[in-house]
Amino acid sequence: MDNGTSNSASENETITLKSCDGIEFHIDARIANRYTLLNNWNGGESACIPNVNGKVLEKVLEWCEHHINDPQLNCGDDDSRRRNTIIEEWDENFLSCDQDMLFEIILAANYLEIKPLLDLGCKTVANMMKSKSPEEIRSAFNIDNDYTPEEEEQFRKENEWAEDY
Amino acid sequence: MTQLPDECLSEIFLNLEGQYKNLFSCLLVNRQWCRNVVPILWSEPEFFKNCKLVRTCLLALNSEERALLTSHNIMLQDDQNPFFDYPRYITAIYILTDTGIINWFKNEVVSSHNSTHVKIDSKSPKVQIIRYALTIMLLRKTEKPKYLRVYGPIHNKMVDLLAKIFIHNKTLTFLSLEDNKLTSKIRKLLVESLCKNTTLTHLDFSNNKLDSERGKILAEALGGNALAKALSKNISLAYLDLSNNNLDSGVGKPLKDALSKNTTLISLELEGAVDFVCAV
Repeated sequence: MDNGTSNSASENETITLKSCDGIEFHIDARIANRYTLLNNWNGGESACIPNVNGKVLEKVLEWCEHHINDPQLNCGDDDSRRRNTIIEEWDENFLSCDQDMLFEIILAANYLEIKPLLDLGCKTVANMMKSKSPEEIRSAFNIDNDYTPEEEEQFRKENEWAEDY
Repeated sequence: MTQLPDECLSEIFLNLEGQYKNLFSCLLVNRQWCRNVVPILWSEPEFFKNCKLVRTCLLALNSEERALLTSHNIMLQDDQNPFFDYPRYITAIYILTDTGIINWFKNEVVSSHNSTHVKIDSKSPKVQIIRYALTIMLLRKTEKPKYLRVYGPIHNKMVDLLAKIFIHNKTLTFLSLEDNKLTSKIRKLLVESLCKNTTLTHLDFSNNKLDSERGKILAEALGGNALAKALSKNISLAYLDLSNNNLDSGVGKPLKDALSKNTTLISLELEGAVDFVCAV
């Protein structure tokens, strides 16, 4: 396991990241070193990140900065990642933003391959679904029901065993 | 509202793994959610316990398996094709109880014939044939089996399907063949696959109660040489349960030699094999 201290970048080194809408961020080079995709763009003094806008990138980088000294987990081990169900207070506050932003963060973390942030976002959304009916979930996440009534009935019948567990 | 792609939705639902009620609600939200929930919901249900689960899985039988039921006068009323090929997602096959089958039979077959006086239990031929048809369907369809626990007799058709799983499959980690009155064919298969298999970490082989004559033959075939050879070659196995198999002292030495070559095994159960243990 790599605890992050063996990174070649020193503490004072910074690089510039540019969001898709042209906003520049000067970040600690150790952040870029930690995450493969950011690192791949770390070719020159400044790197452009398509697909992520300034508002979202700012949030993502805020998270990365806060967690810069976390031990690095082995990303291949899906089970151990998920077994850790506790969300730290700081992270909880960080993600208690509006829902659009939460989804944008998940998308960006997925795109930038920042696994721990992706897990955290997904865990937060999963917690929001617990003990809700399908209708409550639809209204909580503003989702349209695209089933025909017959389809919905058949899906219910084929899977209703799940209600007994 | 930001739309999440399938890969993110799937990550979200994985956090609800094993929470069946929550997954069921998510499944009914819309089509995209359903697509991503089904593989997780169906990965490890306790299959033979629930009659509604049995009902859905009976829809997945092919014509050959349906014919087995028809030959016992069991007609499936529901002919509608299911929306998903659900059993392919099942990773844990535990064939331990018939409660689900018995209840399905009582609810859907007996009650519709008004013949409530019929006694149905695990020993009823009809229950056994349903269990057999469902078992071969599951073994045929499962794409990434991780846990396999078969209790009771293993028929020839099952041996072929098991062989396919043992030899071609890279996901199986847990195998339990308890109380199966194993035939020489399955013994041979087990030993062969142990030599080749690199993913299996648990092997439970207990309670394959044998009379002393057959026990001796099995012990020679399995414990004596072949299993010993397999163990010395196997590089993944950590738990091995050989309790109550009438293993005798004759197999002790080869097994001991094999174990000294094996570097992965950390637990070995040998209850009911006193003579044998003394020799080891």
